[in-house]
Amino acid sequence: MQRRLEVAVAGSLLVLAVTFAVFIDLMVAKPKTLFGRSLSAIEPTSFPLISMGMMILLCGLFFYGVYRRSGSAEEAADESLTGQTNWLNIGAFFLVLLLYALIFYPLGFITSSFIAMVLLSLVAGSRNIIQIVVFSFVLPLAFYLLATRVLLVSLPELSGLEFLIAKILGS
Amino acid sequence: MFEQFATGFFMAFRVDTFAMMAAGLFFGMLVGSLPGFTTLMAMAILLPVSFFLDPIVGIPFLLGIYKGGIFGGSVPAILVSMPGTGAAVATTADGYALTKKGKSRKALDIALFSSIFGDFTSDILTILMIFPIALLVMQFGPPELAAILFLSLIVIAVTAGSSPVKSLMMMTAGLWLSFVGTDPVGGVERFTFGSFDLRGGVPLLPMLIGLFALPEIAAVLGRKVDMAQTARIVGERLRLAELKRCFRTICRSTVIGTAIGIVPGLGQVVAAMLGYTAAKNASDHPETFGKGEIEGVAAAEAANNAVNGPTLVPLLTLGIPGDNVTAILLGAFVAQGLRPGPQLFEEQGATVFAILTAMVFANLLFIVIGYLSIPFFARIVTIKNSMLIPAVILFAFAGSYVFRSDPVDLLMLIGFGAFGIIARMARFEVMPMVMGFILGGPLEYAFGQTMAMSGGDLIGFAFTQRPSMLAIIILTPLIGFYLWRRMANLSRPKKARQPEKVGRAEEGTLK
Repeated sequence: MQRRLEVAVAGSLLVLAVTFAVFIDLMVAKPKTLFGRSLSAIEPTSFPLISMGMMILLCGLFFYGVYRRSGSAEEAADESLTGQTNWLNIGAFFLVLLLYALIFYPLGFITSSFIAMVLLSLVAGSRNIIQIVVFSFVLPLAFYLLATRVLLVSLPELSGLEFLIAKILGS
Repeated sequence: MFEQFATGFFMAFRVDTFAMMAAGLFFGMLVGSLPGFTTLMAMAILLPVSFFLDPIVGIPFLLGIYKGGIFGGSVPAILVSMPGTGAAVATTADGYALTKKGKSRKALDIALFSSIFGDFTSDILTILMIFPIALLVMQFGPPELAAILFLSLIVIAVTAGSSPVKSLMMMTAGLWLSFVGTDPVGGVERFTFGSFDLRGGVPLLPMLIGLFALPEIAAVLGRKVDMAQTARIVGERLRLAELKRCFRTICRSTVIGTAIGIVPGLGQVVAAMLGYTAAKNASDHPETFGKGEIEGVAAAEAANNAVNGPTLVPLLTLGIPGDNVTAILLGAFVAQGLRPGPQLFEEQGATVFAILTAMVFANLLFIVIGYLSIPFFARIVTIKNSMLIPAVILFAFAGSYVFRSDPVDLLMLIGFGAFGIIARMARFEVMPMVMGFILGGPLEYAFGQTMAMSGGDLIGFAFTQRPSMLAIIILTPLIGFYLWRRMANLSRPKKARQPEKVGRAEEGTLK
């Protein structure tokens, strides 16, 4: 499992290195020139090309190493990140994070955090509904007040709740 | 330099600096006390707070988390045989044995006093060591800077993880990410794919939180380390005679920890193990180690905390972070406009000495907060993950968002988190990637300046005008090879040295 993942990561990096190296002119703007002469000592593509070449070389070394130890035992993988149950947990965890990121701005900080915290508590194994609801409401509210009133940083304020707080406490 | 030190010394005495350091120590101990939640995670999550503070306040806040977190890890190690951080693994053997004997209060007291002694002494040694190195590196110009940055990247790649090739691959991937945005030499757009959000480059904060904190949280979710036991502090307090008996061991471990801290890549775990082994070898009664010997706790704790200060020596003078935690500190310095490396002491010497002075005085707060809060942290050990994980995610999201107020940063956070998990499963270290990203821009800029100075003849320029640059470039592969051999040798006996009882304990830690 771990070796296949290693090879997949290295393979992806190799493909990226080759693609970037081949199409680098499409990804980097033309350097500024004055009377036909470049204004900088090195081209903007020079350093990226060196690093692409380095990656291709390193991937070659890596695959040679994999080929050499193909018969030997694998290193132990991180147990917490393997196994079907953990995959399901981690998958659910990332789905909740994605949902949180997508609703963070449209729903405002307090509402989106409430929804995300309820879902995360369930994913983490809590089944005490009252505790989940109270905790998921109190913590985002306290954090929102601390951030916006004490640290004076802005958080998304697009739901009725934030406007209500602003009306009560003054904007 | 001495003028800068004197100015910095008085700059450190600010009420807000000490208040935030106290808060940092408290948060660090709090997170360190939670099994599975590491100092690294605390630093990544609370890093955004430092961005809104003055450097003399924000960076001591992070140093407080660092110091507090390393000590905090010893609380669950002693009480429930589950170290909160990897650094506390060696503490578990004797600490938990003392708890089983009904002497948990004594074990926590000796852990606190030896941690503070190790930390305080090594902090003073750090300042003394920084002076000569800083004086030397202040003579460097862009060519030497480029060579030093190159050396830093090689040292980091070789010392991080078990495979230098994999670490170098990750470092190169980090360099790629540093190319996104505007070219530091010519000012042209690169790898933005027409996206407005990428014109300013990849944001540092979602990257740090995503790569370091999210995989840790996912691992906690997968591991299920909720405490079934009740952690209680019982027994009498530590007596002065017992502290005196341990004093020699504490001093020895402090020296070991300080020496380990200067070398990048070794860190607290190695220091604690070496300190513990040295104490056992020097003891008249080695058979008592592992069975509840307070000298064992003192040795491990003094050594692991003595590493904290000296890790700043290579970081501040050469820009080389010793481990993941100092990598986050490097991010904090960069975000505050203080770029560690040869120019730092020339441009911001007083600020740096103010931070170092604050770090030394943080130990006074450490005694008070540690002594008063230990009973509280003992209760924290039993808090359920189902409450902690949502809270940590809330801080991670808010922290990633507030810096640029751009919702795209949240998607980047998740993307980096997913990559961090895949990298972790494939045993690719993410630290070299972060370093490649942070040092990539300055390296390219210094290299561009060097090329301009050399007029295109880099080799001739190095031989005739910049012998120190040439020397660093020649030394780089030699240092890299030496460190690689050293790391390979150290990782072998370390596996054999693990005390039996920490087998279970290690399941609860991620470092």
